[in-house]
Amino acid sequence: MGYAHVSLMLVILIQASFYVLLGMGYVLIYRATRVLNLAHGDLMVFGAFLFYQGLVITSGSVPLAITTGILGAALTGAIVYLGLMRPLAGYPVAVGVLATIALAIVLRSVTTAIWSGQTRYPAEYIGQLARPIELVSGLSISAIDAVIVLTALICILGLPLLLRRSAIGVEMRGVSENALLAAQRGINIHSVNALSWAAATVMAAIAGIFFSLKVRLGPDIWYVGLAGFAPALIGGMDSLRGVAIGALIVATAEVLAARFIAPQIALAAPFLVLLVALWIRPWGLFGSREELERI
Amino acid sequence: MAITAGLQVSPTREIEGSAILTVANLEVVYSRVIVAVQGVSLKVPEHSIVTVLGTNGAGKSTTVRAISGFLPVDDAEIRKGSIHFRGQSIGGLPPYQIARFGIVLVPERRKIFETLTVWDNLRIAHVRNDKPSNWNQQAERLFGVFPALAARREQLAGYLSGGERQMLAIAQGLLCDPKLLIVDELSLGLAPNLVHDLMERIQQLRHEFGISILLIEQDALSAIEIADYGYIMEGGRIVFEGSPEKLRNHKDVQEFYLGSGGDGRTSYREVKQYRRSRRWWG
Ligand SMILES: Nc1ncnc2c1ncn2[C@@H]1O[C@H](COP(=O)(O)OP(=O)(O)O)[C@@H](O)[C@H]1O
Ligand SMILES: [Mg+2]
Repeated sequence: MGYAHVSLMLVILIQASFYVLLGMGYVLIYRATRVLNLAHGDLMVFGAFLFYQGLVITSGSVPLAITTGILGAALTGAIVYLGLMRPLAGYPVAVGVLATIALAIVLRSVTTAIWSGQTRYPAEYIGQLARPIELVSGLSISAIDAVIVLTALICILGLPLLLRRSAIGVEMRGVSENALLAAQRGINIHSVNALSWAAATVMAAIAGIFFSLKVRLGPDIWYVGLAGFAPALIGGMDSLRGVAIGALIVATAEVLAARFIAPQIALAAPFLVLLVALWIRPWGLFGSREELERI
Repeated sequence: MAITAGLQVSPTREIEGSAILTVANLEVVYSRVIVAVQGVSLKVPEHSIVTVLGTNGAGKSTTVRAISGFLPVDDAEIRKGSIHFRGQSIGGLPPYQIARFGIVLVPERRKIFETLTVWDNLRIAHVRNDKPSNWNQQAERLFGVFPALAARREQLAGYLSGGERQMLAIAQGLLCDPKLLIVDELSLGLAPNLVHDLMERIQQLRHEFGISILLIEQDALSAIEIADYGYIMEGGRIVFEGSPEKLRNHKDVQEFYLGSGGDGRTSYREVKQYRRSRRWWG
């Protein structure tokens, strides 16, 4: 196996890591509200712009900018749940999904109104992060890519553990399975769900920050975030473990299609894979059959 | 004159001691049209076990949903009557406020978290501002009453047997520190000897935790054994009430609810005949 293969696998790994961050956000929200959040891409853009604004204000302080992005995203996620999704509880799920489409369009115009449609390159503020790190002689990874892979790895290992072991994780799982019973047992289901939305929006923002540092930032990159629902759906929508596998499948298809067929195909690849997966196994790799009707 | 008349209204409704729960003339409608509960009155005295018996569709679950505040979920509402907890009106309050009074419902269906372990099912139940030491002590006591649960601590609740599910649901409810525990259909789908065993433990819990219990049942035989007082519900009304002896000795109750009239279990045809000949007591 030559360097060409290894570096191709590295590209797939980086892309998959990006999808893990996005896909897990979809899963967290789905588990909380049983809604496919079609505003996830625009929440991602919004979070990334908050980060960019932080950079501008602090003239390039990365820790402060990231804090701005994360706190702002958490707040945004909680507000979206409490202000929009909670009042819709009890309506058919389709109503919730439509509400997220409306939210997406509103967010997009707000973002454009505040920051204009102009493309930015936040990486300019942090030149050293783009510097490559040599893994072995001849094979290197940029610092930002290394951070992306590491963050995804932490999420893959940490989030399921958090959900399984921590008190708040157990509450999230309980509310997800049976909100009525959870409420009867003294759990404030709305603060638990608001937390899920906040966490998911933070993950979207982190993905957005990574993308804006690696590629570019503009209100038009929402479709990158939307593609994250492919790995989530392939993984079964309610399974964090499934997202990791779904992300690998989607990333492999995307990178290979871009390399060997045509770069233009890459954009559609996640959705093509999704269609094939839905055709073979409609309830996802790890999802349960009953979940199907609730999407 | 008026006072005497008032005292004589219904001597059977006199129960000793003060009531923890008083329901008066409760009327509940679903979707603004379907009347499921009609003029129901009942009382649960402090530290007692009271049972509400009745066949499917009698309105038992609707009554307890009204008490615990979960009517709006099913698009139902209290149209008339009142519900008091220790003298305070709780009718129509949201569920979380009612729960804070110390009213805990173990529902008929979906009563445990199947995707959580037994232990997580217990630790998910808590009381606001309660001390952790307090909680641990209660949990240990419950494991004493239900040793089967202690042995299955790390098992997923979805894999428990019917009896174990009931035990877990009750234990979970008790960890919310209730003053009044409402159990809807404890016996549902369980073997008779298991039901008998569970009923005995309910009685034990009443003493150990110093609580009152409202027991909703179709299985009249086992409920009457441990109850201090019983009501019989039919078509959304209370049609008969009294002490366990009185319930046990009433001819129609024997025939219909205890299934011991004539040659054992009542057949559907007999039930229909019974329905035709039955008179209203309420
Ligand atoms: N969600 C609901 N919507 C409309 N009607 C209902 C609903 N739940 C129960 N009912 C009706 O109310 C009546 C009483 O039901 P229920 O309280 O569940 O009886 P029980 O618990 O005694 O079997 C029944 O006629 C039933 O059809
Ligand atoms: Mg019922």
